[in-house]
Amino acid sequence: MQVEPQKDKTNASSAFIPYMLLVSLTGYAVLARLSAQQLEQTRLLPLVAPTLFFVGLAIVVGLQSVRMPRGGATTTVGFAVDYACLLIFGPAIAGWIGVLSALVLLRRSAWLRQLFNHAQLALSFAAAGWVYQQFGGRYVVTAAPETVATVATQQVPFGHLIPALVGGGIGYFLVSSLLLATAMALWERRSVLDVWAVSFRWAVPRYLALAPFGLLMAMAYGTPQIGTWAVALFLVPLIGARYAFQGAMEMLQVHRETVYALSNALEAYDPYTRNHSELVTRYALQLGRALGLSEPQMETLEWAGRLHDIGKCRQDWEPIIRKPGKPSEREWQVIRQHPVEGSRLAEKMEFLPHTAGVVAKIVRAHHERLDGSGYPDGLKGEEIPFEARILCVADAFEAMTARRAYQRKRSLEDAVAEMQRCAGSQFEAKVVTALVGLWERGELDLEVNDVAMKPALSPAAQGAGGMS
Amino acid sequence: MRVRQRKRALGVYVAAVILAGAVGLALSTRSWANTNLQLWELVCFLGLAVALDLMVVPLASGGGAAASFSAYFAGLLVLGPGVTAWVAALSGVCSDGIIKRRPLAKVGFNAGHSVLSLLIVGAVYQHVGGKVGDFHASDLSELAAVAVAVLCLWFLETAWVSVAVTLERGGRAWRRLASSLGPMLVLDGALASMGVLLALLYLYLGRDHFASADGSPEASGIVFFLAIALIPSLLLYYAYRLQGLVRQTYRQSLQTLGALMEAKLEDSQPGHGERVATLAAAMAQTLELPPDQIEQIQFAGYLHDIGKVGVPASLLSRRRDAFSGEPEQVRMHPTIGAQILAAVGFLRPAAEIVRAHHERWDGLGYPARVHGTQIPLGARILALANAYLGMTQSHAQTPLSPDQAVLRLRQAAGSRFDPALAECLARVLQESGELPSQAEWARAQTWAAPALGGREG
Repeated sequence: MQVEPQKDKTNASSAFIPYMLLVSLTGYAVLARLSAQQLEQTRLLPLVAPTLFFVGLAIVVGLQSVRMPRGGATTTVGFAVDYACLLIFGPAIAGWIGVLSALVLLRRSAWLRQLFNHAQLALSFAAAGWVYQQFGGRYVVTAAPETVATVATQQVPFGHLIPALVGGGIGYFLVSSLLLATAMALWERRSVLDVWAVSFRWAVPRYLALAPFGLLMAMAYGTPQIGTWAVALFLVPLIGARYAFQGAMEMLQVHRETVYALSNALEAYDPYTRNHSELVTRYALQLGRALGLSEPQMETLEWAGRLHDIGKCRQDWEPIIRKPGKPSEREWQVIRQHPVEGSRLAEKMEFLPHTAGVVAKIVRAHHERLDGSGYPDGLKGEEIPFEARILCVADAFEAMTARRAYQRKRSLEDAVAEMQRCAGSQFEAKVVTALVGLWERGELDLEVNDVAMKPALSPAAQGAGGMS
Repeated sequence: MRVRQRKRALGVYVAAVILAGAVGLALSTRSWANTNLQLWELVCFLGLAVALDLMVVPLASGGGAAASFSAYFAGLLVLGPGVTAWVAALSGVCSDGIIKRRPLAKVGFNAGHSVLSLLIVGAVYQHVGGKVGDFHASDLSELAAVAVAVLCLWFLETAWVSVAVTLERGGRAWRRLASSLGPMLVLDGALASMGVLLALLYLYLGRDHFASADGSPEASGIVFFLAIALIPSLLLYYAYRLQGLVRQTYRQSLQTLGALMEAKLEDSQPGHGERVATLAAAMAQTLELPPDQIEQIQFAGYLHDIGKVGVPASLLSRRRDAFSGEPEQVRMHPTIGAQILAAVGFLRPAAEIVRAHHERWDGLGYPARVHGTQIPLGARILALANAYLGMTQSHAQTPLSPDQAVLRLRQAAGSRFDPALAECLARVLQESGELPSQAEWARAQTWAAPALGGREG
């Protein structure tokens, strides 16, 4: 796991650099102490070749790091190799393998970030090794009993060490993710737990899937008939999986771009709806970030924001929706159906099994009100998905501040006052508070991007350009 | 070759493969006598093969690759060809026949060609000095024998399927074989190295440690071996399935967005984009274009009129002659559409097709007035599909029958359309039975999804 902080933030906490230095020093100190202990037990020379072999493996796998679609942390399938190294060599050598491979993999990063990442790896391995040994864990490569000049490779009965294996893995993940989350939190001035929940919690299943793989590598390495080089065969599924993951991530990105470009184009020729979805999405994401939504929630919120009005694209509805003046009761009936139509369409465009139905549900509920007077289902309070409550506020705020056929453009102050007045009855109070907070701090990004054909901007806040 | 002849040849070929496989299977039982095979070993490999068989990942080139290839290869190294042939046949019947309920001919063909490949490759492997049941990864000569076996298996498996696909869809067998050997080498190489890994895990982590001292089976040992052996494959399967799902959803989203666009346009027919995409893809497949290109042509088909979204409805719904000029603003729609699509890097090829789909072979089209082969191939295909469906499905004018439409298109070949492609369209329509009705169309849709492709025959 490595950290790639967002580059557009310059308001890092003053504790950021001291923290990075402290972790770096501690990490190297711990690594030095572990290495000294290791050298008391075994000679260095017989360890050189296997260490370099695994550094090679770690580099080959690490070069294949998969960038997550929203930036931030990148996780790699490298955890499998890391875990195998720990079980084979113990924390000292595994730490060095991590440092040496990071020297190659992160050679373009700033030196402080490099040092920090080395230390972070060393500390994670040290924690994992400590937990593993507390539960009675043993390593594949140990000092040979008869002579210190060689090391012995032994088959470890891993079947009896399940608590140690699980504990070691958890120790590694917790230390690694907390060290990284703290760095990101200081860099972006957010709370550590918040960052951890947003950027790391969802990675747990991936680690659970990769740990048995690492264990299998260690078992194979400990079996003399299988031989060292055959361990390299494990790279085939690892690299294959990483190409597939990357292909999937790229395709997701393409999917996102395509839906943005095309839904923008569908919206663009109508001056009243132009940019509406884009602005709503932007507000919703700012609110979501302020309210601490997790990464998957942000993802679904973004899709829901993009697609929330797609149900209005019906030929027979066009004249009604575009008609100037206040709509009649019959026309309202039609307008009230658009979330239902929209959720039907959103369902067809869903992209991952774990979000199945979520985006559609949010789109369907984005005109529900807290007190149950909304449409189409008249849901109340907690029955409305939280993301839909965010989207509702963002949608209303955009509608109030933009020009519509039946409304004059209101001033921002009026709009905010109106939102506050309706908090608790129409809108979720928490969300309105977040909106007011963003507005008062001048962080609300209101700038209209009138190049309608372009895909959406990155959701990252870019200061208060259009405030005055 | 005519369609009917080809169909007959396909039947003969499939029957021959099944028969030869059955004979091979029967003969191979003789070799069982001189192996000290344990029943639980057979159970292990059969379980592994069935489990892997169920993990079919969709390939970009259509069809799918079953990971059971790696189990067969491991079986070859551990159990020898005779036993593995039985494993392959039984697992094929279990997973394809009983679980997936595929047509009997496909089950038989897949099992048959796997058996034949394994027996031939096994003979070659042992001939070049490969050992069965005693494989050492550190011995170079043994490795060389394994490499020979991988290459043989790769060539044979690709060849069986290429011949079948050629007989089903037309074209030349050797060309299809040549074009699929490359991509399959990567896949089969990866699966074979997984097979070597499986063999090593089985021989040195499974068999020796999980059978009890007297050599009798231990159920927990079998379960444990299957669990560890499936870890690498499961990881791969999970990743590729994710990728396949994402691609599939992408296509679905484009279809949905295309349909939405049609809902916004007053002069368009619901489903027109999808029909154009399907017909154009069928033409592209007949021309044996690479899968990526076929896909982009299909995408362009869904969205070819997206640029009309920016054109006022009053202009679009005006009745107009298809061969004469159109209002200036209507002429903008290919350019606008291309601009919209070009915003997505992945759709650039489709954007170029959309840009040129109103160009004419003689250079009198719009917007750029390019002519002949300067017009992208995809755009020339799309123009024909679009014109054909416009004539036969139009609601503004009385729709023409397919015969009349094809006659018109042939008349316009050389002036408006690429003459070779007009013939290609006629051939596609002929093969589908001339499309007299909507019901025929539904059947025609199935061309777009390859019925027989890759290893998943």
